[in-house]
Amino acid sequence: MSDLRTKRNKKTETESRTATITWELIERVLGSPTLGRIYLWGKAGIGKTYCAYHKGRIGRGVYAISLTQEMPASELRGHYLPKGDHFEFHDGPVLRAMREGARLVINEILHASDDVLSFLYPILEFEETARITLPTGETVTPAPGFHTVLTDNAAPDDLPAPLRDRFDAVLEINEPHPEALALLPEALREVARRGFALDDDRRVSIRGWLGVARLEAELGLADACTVVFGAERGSQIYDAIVLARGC
Amino acid sequence: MTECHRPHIFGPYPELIERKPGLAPFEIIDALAAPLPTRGMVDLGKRVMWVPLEASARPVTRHELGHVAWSPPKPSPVRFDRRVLMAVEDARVNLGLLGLALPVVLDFESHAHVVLLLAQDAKAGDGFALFMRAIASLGTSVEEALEEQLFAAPGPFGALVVDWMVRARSALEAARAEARGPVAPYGLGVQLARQLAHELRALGLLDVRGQARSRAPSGCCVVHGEGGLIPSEGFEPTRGEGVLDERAAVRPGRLTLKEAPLRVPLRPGRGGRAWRAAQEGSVVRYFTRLPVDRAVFRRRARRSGGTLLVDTSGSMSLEPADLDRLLLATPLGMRVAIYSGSGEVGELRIVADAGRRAAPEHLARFGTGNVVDLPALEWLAKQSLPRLWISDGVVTGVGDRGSQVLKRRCEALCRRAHIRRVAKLDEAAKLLRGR
Repeated sequence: MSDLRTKRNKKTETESRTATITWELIERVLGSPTLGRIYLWGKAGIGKTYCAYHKGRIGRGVYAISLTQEMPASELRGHYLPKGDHFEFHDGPVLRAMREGARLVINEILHASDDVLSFLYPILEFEETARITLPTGETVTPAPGFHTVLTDNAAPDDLPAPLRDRFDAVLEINEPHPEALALLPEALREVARRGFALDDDRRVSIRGWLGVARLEAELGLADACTVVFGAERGSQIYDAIVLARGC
Repeated sequence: MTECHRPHIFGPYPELIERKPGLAPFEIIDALAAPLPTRGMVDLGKRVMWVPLEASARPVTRHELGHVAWSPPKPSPVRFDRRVLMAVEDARVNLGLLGLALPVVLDFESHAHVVLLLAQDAKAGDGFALFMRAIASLGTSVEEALEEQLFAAPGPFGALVVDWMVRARSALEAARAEARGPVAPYGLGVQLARQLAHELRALGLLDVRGQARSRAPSGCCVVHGEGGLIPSEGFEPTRGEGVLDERAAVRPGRLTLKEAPLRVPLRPGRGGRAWRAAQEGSVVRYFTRLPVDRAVFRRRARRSGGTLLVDTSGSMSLEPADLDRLLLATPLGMRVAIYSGSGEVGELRIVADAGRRAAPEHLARFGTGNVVDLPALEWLAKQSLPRLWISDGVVTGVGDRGSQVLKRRCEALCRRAHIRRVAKLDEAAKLLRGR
């Protein structure tokens, strides 16, 4: 009886803790056929884009775009190009992904112009509603398997509410991807993990550490740090690495 | 001029090397703006590090990092003047750094300063200070110079001090080799300090309670907030906002960011949107260009961006009508914000953006003071280039009180973020028309 109570207590305790989002969970989400619109966000250089390109349902290909404020919707949808004496419509990445049932990765979604955001409304609809009519008159509906992964450094709070409402999953990641850390030499891993946890203006991204690891054999640690982080910051990081290794 | 307040450039990374990762990052404070007894200090318990945030301060940050890596958060209790233990601890850390090929090499100015201090100690006959300074210099670039100086003018203690320098160095190096680590064990340092204190007592440099009469501050820089080592009398290190406030004399006010309703087109009539002809696109707009250059499609043209921040405090004497005129001269893609403050708070209000602007009633100032110049400039530093700041250069904080340090921080931020300050509205309007 008391065993049962202990077990029950343990279960309640586990369930009452705040859930944490791990990379393992994210990879499961990216592989799930029921989730069509996934928003990943977290600090720069954490591995969001890497994961969006390489994990989960990527068998039918991955189309990727990084948005800027200047990018018009026509670049996503497609546009006419001159060919000989006539113009031909060329599908953009969104259209291609829809036709092929592939994954569409949209990076820096918070940089999207109003034009692009309006264009994304029908794209991010449920499969049965999503459709787009082209200037050619053709209406395209997404092929089975089409899904979108949106990434940014910040939470989707700045997006219009109807667009936010379309996401099946909004996941924040705080830890660098273990595969990125695994690419680092053993001695740099813990340093990189700690450097990543610093405040925004002092954070050292995993990309920086990977750069140092790649260049160290060729240039030596001191020069590798200088090349990757600049003279002043590189000196400080070099001292920290040498001390961390020495400890 | 030295670039201050740039912890992300010149600041060290103690979090990467501490033995057990702490819950919070270290607070890095610019020692150039803080009144310190030494050039650098670290409080291991409260996780604060004071170092000069400038290019030439690398030996200082290196030394402080050594303390983070190897000094215990709480020192061993000793029955003699703690400065003895601190000097030996400095030597232990410096020799450890030397062993890792991270020598503490002082710049010419610091080198000369230490040599001068030793000469002053010798002249004043302060034997205790001679011992402390010489021992603490072990493993640094100034060690040899001090040794030579002590040989040249030994005085009553010179030879003994040199003997102790040699003895301490060899003991610490032997212990380091035996431990097969980068640094001698802390316990050995404590033992060495005890022996040194014994010798100092025998020389009459420590009294019966083990305390030195010397008022010379120790060169050591490890602060232990509660009952531990304090580097000099009367120095009470604080952290967080308190230190920043003290350093700045005046704390910047709290900024609220607001966006006024942007319902009015920046210009009457056309001009809200800009398009260009292109050979690629999906909307055919300029069919007549087909035989000319085939650029028949309409595409959105790149907007000229930029940000304009206007100080509307009382000293600027700007009325809504003046701002109205300025907005008329503003390029279409430019974001315009006004700010002012009162008491402890201020408001930054966006009054124009993306070709639209606020109605005149939203151009009234929030308060008559500046108060939030620094946070407003920090906001501007994150906006798109070019960045213009219309201000008379008067910078204030809480209570609309001015401060030289606050002013310097604003100037440094302007340099770093390529913010151009113009003093007068006409000058700004002329600049904007020229874009």
